[in-house]
Amino acid sequence: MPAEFQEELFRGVGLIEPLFDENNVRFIRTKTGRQLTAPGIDLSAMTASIINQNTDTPPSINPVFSSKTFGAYTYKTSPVAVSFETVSGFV
Amino acid sequence: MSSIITEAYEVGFSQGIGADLISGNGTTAPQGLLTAATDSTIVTASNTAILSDEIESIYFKLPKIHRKQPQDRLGYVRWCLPLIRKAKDTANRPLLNVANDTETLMGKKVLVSPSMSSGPSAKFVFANLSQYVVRVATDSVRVQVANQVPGYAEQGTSLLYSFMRIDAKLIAPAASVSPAVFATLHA
Repeated sequence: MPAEFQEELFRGVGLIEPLFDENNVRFIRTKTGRQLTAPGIDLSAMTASIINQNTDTPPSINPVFSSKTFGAYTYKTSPVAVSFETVSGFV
Repeated sequence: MSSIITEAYEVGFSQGIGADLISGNGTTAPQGLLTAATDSTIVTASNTAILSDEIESIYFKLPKIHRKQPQDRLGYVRWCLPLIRKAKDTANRPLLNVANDTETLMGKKVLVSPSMSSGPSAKFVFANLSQYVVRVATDSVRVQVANQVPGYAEQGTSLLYSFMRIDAKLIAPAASVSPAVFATLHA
């Protein structure tokens, strides 16, 4: 399908459902639906401390790194019935 | 003609995918924002009004590290907009601001999803949506033609379907600082 169709489709879906709008959420486009792992950091464990010369600064606690695995669920719309002539103009 | 068909697909996907982006279970469907959000345990005193104090309480249930996000990355997805629209502070000023066709509450963008539940016990979500990831497989977006469907082929028509593969999840590494909390309207 032409790229314009895809862009128009994404934009149109996002206008109705804001969680599909790339201006609102983190929107990741991948070519295929192969498994994708996205990392996340426990922000509540992040901190910073002063270091001084000649002072032993013990290692601080590492924040927990977690990951989420993304698959791809297939959605199919309801069918639209059109004449044979229209099909050749659309697809 | 093609724009009409594309519009039909937009509505179809927004209904089907949209419902799962709100309440999908995360195991056999994308993880919905409401499913992933933490219960703030706040229930409004009424199901016909939302008070200023209640909005403030829910707002501060979202950890500061998520509230600091710029306006365009923090959204509230909710159904009860008419109730929030009527909410006023002690000086009778409306809490909801409308500017440039955008509604903001506590300085943050308000998003309205048609898939959120409605009526008494409805939920509304306060979230840092930069932590909500929607993944789309672009090669999967296509239109499929069925030319030989009985009852249609005889009449010179085909059926056009559109397909799309997606997944979505809330990235929430620590339950103690969930990037999404929800509140409940009184039953």
